[in-house]
Amino acid sequence: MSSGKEQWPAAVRKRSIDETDRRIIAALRADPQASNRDVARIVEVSEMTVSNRIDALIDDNLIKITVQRDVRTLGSHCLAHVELDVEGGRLNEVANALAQFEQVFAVTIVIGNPQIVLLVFAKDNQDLQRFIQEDLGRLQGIRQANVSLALQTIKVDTGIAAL
Amino acid sequence: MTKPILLDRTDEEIIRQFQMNGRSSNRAVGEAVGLSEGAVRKRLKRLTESGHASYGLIVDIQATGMAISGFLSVQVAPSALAAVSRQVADMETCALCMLTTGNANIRAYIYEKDALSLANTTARIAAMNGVSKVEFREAMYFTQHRYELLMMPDGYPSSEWTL
Repeated sequence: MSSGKEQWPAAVRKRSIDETDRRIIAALRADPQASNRDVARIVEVSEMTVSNRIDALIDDNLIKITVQRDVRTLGSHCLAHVELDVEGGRLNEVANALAQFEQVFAVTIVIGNPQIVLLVFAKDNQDLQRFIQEDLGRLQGIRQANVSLALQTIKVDTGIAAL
Repeated sequence: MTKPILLDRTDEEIIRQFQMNGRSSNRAVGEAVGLSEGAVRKRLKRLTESGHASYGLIVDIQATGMAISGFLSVQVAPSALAAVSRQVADMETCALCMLTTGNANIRAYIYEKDALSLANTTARIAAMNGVSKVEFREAMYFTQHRYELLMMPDGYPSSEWTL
């Protein structure tokens, strides 16, 4: 039986952003492909400022511009919300193991029990059951799994993350 | 609606290149995969127009000014489900909203500026017609978030979908 003490990864405090940064971010949110020149016109600063600010925001891991893929084109048509109750002291170990599964979209540690919430993709119900029984089944420390199927997703905004 | 097209290895490589650096030029990506700038532009157009991939801006939580985020679950009578889920989804600070099986009929992920703001939001939802229970589980740590993946909402016309 473990002591129940967790080793938490050190929290990284990132620098604050100013009004110009905020307006550049808003312009990029509307069109992530906007050229530095277009952004400069919208925000009313020089192109050089836009270029420098964007580089700095990316370097400091405050924003990321990327290409996102629709999971349905990768064959996933099922989304499940899974709450896991984990043995004390094994929380990070279990969370890190879960993060390795490609079909696990998100692993979030929440306050209270159950301590872990997963968002999981699956091809279909059978694939989801296989994930629960075999993939979760093989991990040590999971006491209980509450699985809730998304019958319909109404809104998705994957524009914010802990980078 | 996503039109099914076949992706070859070059398409996958192009997506990977843009996932590493979303501000990459078509020419730079072309050099990396051995194609002309025009050829990259053409493939990218095909990928984005068919719904397989899209440009996205991800913003770090710390840059959003939201001190709290977490999973919201709502228990609501079937007759009020459509109206309440719509109201939850319409909240600007709602990043995910789905109708689910299990104890909660609506599960959402929301961001709030502070505890007072969160209290007001949950109180407002709890007061809605047909709602019997509202719960919030605060996120403490994000072990994994595959933000390069998009979960397109079901039956949500793409023009209405806001990032």
